[in-house]
Amino acid sequence: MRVLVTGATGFIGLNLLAALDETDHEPVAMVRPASTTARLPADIDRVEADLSDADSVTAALADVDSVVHLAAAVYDTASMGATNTAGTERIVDAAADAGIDRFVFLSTVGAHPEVPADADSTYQQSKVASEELLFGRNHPFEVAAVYPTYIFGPRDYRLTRYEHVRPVAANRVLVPPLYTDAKYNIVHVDDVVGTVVRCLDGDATGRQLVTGPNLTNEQVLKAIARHAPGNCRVVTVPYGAIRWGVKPAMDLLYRIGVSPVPGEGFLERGDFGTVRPELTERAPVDQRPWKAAIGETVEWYETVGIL
Amino acid sequence: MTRLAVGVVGAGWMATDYHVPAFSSHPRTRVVAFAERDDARRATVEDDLSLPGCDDVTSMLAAHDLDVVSICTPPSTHESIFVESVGAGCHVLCEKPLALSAESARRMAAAADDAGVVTQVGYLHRYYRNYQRAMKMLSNDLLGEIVEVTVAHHSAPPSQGWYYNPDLSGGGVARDLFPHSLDVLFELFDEPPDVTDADVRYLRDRAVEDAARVSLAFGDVPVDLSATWTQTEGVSRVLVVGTEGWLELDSKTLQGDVHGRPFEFQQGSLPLVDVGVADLFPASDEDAHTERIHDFADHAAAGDLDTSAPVRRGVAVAEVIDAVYERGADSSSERDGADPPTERDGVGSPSEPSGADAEGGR
Repeated sequence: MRVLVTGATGFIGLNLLAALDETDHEPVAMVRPASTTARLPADIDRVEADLSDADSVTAALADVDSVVHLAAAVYDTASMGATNTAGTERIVDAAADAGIDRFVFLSTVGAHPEVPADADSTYQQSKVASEELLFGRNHPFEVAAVYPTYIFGPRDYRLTRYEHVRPVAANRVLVPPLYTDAKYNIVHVDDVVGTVVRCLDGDATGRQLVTGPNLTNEQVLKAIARHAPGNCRVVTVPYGAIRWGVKPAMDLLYRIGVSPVPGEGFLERGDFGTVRPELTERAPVDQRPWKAAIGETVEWYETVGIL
Repeated sequence: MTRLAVGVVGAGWMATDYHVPAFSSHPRTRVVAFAERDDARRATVEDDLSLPGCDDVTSMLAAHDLDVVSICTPPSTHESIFVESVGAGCHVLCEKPLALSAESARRMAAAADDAGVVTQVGYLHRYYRNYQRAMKMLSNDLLGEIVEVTVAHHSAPPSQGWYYNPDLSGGGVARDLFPHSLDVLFELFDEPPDVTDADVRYLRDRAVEDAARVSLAFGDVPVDLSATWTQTEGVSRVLVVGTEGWLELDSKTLQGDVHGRPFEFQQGSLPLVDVGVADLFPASDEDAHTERIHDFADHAAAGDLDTSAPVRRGVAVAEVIDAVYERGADSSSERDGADPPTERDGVGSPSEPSGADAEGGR
């Protein structure tokens, strides 16, 4: 089965291409003319197209049986409307005309109907906007959408998880304000691409959550410290101590010109994909441990020389 | 396990400070003799190192059953010592520049091929931990596609006289300093480059150029190199720009950015502490000179011909430098009528050591 993969040069895309190599599916990488293609496997079929150009998308869909639509603007807020919402509509319409069998869409956990979306996240809202398009209409093909939480794994060429790993690797002792409070729900990228493959096989359809356990800052930072170079010791500090100790201290350092920023930012409490307890550890595949996801991310960073 | 017997040719500081100690500290090699033409220097080094000295490579090969010859003499002597050594079945480590010209280098490569021995040219930069880290990043396409590379290598004028005699040195700063960077570039890009532009300048009244620039094209990637003998403390810096990030490095600091995520290493290491406004890096025991000699010793002991820079690499490097002089002669004679390098002053003794210094190959 020939599968058109959009976003093939991205984090999930490169991992999916590696996973498809073990299956009967024949991927065709859809790449924009300006994309870096050096990282694609050498023997992979590629077709140049751009989601903003309907004709190019139609041409790319000729002669494929399925589509995995991964391409999205994840960091560039200004292009999220055009790429993630309008671009998805364009490829869904073209896929209907092309007569494909299956359409697999990579969404995000916050766009799942059972998970409250973050109204301030343009990215989440751009994915929510595709819900009606995918599930509110009839299509001449099967639709599946995958809703992962916070993904770790190899081939993170954008270094999207480096901000969590470097402070651990670059300090022998990690203590606030070197980290701020946060909670996580972490999944292995293999679970995400495994779910996509199950959808392509017809073994899973409709909405598919891919969630891990909800994790504390301490669990995540200590797991990173176990794998990262440098033998970092993570010191856990209760939020109250950050509130009443670190923030005033940073405010003082800011006033005397040592810190470039005041203490307010250190009160942030990040939420990287947590879900309510009954939605944790869901996936239509045998899940890989979240610690392996962190370990393999760190190992990959070392392989490419960034750690 | 027996240790390979090493003979070192030339007894300048490169030999006594690096080659002899490194071959002595490697578990598979031991130094049994050295050759030095200058009688006084030979006597001094015999005393200092308690090693027997010979007056040339021929007598050293005759007197000792050698497995390895390590060449630390000025470039004009390399070809004959190299050919004689590989002809005697010895593995050879030869300091850079390999030869006075690509033609000479090709004769050396042919002799090594016939003998089937392990060879390495003594390029240094790739053995710095920062360079090894940068090569990992680049070979894994971490910066996306490479858009351009800029190399600046400016060192102190050499103190030994032979550097300024083209018959002994094969040229000036281009022959002396470009090899280290060209070796790294050849490692980074699979294909040989086109030389698209070059010029050489004579800043001081010397018989060889002391400023040189060359523009190369590795496929469609433009690479600019410049080198001078102008500084008190040298600088050798590489800037690589890719479609998704950049990096800049010298032997001490490697820094850059990928998709807005900055990184920094000192001598290949992450900081011990990085609190944003200040950082502290660990003390380093880095010794790239010993690393390269031990790497060669590993290959020689294993009979592995695929060293980091076999003699063929030296041929490719010499071809680029020859092209620099050909184009440089054209451009400088057009501009101001200066002659290409010829012998003018003939200072210096061929018995002095060649080569790179402790920091970045001078």
